[in-house]
Amino acid sequence: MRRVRFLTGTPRFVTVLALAAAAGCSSPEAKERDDNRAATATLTIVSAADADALIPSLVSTTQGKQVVDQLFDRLAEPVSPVETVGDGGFRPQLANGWSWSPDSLSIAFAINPKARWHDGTPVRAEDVRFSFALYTDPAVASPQRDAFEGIDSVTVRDSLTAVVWWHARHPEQFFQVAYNLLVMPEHLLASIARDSLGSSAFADSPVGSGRYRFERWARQQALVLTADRANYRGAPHVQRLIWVVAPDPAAANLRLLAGEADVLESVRGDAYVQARQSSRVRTVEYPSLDYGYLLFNYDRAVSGVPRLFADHTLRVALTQAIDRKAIVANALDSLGSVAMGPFTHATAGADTTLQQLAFDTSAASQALDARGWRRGADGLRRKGGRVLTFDLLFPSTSSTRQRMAVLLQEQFKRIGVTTTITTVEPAVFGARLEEGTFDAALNVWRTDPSPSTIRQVWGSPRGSSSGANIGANFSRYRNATFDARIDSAAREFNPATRRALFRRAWQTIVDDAAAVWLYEPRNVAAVHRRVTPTDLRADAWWASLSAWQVEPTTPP
Amino acid sequence: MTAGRRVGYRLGHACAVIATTLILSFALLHAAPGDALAADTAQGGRSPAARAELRRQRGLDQPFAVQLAHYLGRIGHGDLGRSYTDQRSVRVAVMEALTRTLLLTGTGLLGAIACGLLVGILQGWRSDWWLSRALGAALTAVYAMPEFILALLLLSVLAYGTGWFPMGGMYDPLISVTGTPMERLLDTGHHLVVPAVTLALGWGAAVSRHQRVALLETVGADFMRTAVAKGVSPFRLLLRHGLRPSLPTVAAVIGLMLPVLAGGAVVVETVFGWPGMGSLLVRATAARDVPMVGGAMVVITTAVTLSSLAIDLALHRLDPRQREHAL
Repeated sequence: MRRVRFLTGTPRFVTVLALAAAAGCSSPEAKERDDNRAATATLTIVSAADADALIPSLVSTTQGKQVVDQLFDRLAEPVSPVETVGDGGFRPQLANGWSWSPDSLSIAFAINPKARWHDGTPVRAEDVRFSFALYTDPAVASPQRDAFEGIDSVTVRDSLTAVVWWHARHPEQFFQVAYNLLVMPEHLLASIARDSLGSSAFADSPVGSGRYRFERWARQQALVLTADRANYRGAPHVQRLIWVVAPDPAAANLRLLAGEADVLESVRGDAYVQARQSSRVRTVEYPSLDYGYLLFNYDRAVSGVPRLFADHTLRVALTQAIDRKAIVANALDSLGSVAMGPFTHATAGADTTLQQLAFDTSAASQALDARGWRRGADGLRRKGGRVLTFDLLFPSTSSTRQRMAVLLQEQFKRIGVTTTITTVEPAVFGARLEEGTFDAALNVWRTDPSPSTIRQVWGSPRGSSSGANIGANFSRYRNATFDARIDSAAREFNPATRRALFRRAWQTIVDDAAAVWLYEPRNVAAVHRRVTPTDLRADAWWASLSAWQVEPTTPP
Repeated sequence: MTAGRRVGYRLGHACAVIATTLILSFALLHAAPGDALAADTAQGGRSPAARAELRRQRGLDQPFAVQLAHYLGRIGHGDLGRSYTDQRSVRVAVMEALTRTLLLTGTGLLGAIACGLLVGILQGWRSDWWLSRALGAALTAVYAMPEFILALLLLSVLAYGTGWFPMGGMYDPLISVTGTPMERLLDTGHHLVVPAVTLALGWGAAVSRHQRVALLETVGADFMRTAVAKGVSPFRLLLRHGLRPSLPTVAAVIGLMLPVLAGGAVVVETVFGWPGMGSLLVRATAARDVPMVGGAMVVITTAVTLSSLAIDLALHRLDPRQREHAL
């Protein structure tokens, strides 16, 4: 890589600097260090933002997850594609075995006796109990806390056996604990106040049991992890993992093209074209769990009509008015496809044969006419003197959604519906979704590998008043039939029946036009040609970083 | 009023400015929609219960007046608090960012002064020379160019095109963990070149234009003709008689740039991934990170008011006419 050229090569105009550097490298120790560098396989990932935290129970960003997944271990590791029912889709990680109780209300995990924290202390069952307590303690305010709903407790049978207990059995018990729980060291964290974890020394220099150990973190600049050569799971192929922060997308892409970085997790537009044309870089596609959608605010008075979007016929008409295929092609070119519903092709049991509401402007116009929204001489639809109009909200950071908002506005206009466009910064976008101070909004949702978690976004809010707990159901969508069908599917153990039940639930929400399912982005990463990625999972492309093959850097 | 008392008065004035800025920035962030916990809401993030707990822990559930009193009380005791977004000590984060920014902007400013003065003098002294005209045209183009365009242009040419310089960041992460102190120092210098040149060119263009105008005015003055008639050598004429009267104008222009030294150059820091004060403040404001914004404001406002005082003192020293006015 080019940085080595600075160390060993001599760009002419920095000759003086290089000579000084050479003087600093002349000792045998320096030579040995240089040799080690040359033989070291280092993987550099360029990222738009820095990690938010390095304690698993505090992490809320993708960047943070990428790092803690290398530093800490799960009890068992999901294999790709992630299967959420039962334990068949998992292989041992921190636990080298597990056994179910006869009533399936508990699972006993046998901790690998060879597992060690990076400070040399053995990993024990007590660490599992402690980690569960950290995730679920309200004082920690963990973003993952809800993922452990339904788990009663974790107990310690002996120093190497942790037992997880549930209130009731369900098909995703094993997934729930094995996927969501990263085990943290009790001996280093127990003495820290739970509401001060983020400001502790451990947060700046974490100690895990994963195949990489923490080496250095310069905030907003770079984060370095080094292979744990003595790890109980064996040493990883890549000796060093480095995340560098490049907030400007153009600069991030140039760093990759120039060979200063090896991986850019997502390329779009010009960056995609440049990566395709580069002799140094190639593109790698991996499955996506994201979908973009136009959500309606069901509880809001729009166009002077209380709960306007609660009208099923109106929602169907608005959906039929949109040529989603054209919009996706225009905004994303070949890097996206039309969304099928609140799930993606990578969702377990995804069914691509669901019946969709077709693009049909005449049917949409007739439906609106039938509901009393008639076009006037000016082409606008009115009912009782009120114009059918609403506002489209989206965050300023998304150029894709900006393009889509303009295209949607144009397509709605064709059937006489006027829309205004409002762009706000992400903090305001999130706040307005939560408060319900919007008419319609363009949002992107990253789904969980478990299809059951659809309830967080589309399940009816608990309580019927305006103060109901909406979770992530920003639409305030309510559909008792859908709720019941999702619950039935989520409780089903038989895989074939489960798939059929989920299909029925998805068809219900698509038929109901709960939202306009717009697009499913194609995830395309750009990687240096010396890198051979393996197993890019939809939910975590970084999950197998330790198994990636990287040719060692060699001096020119 | 003695000079010491005048300076004391100005320092008292600076304290009032800092306090007002803090109150205003706190009030504006409080009034702005969204909060530190809302940025990731659209993608799920924390549950409403977890968000409520964090708001309670941070005192965000208290009335505005109570929050403001706690905030000012803490800062009054020298405690800048902890960042909402990454839980770091604000004092440490701001001081780190300030050091990096001063390194970048300080180098850029020195480059700008050197380059701007040289070109300005050349243009003012030998205005009919082809090189003066060429340099003038080039710097006018740079002056007119938006900073991000200039930054991307230099990045493309000097870093990507030639491969001589790194594409961004403050250092090579690998060298930061494996290099000797000398290597790390050289590496930082290597990373500093292109962003500092970007700033130096932009600011240098401004300095040269003012230097040129000031020198042209001086060159046509009666005392210069008198000096020539008395047989003063051209070099001495320039240095002793030509340059000195034009310095207050240039010093004032440089003074206007001093606040940026501490406040950071947001565009250049963003394009080159330089983790300084500008990018810290933008990030903190977008995330409604009140303690971080407050800490940065304390530093920037102090720097602006003190640099303003410093430049007034410098002008007072350089220009005898200024001594008739109070500071």
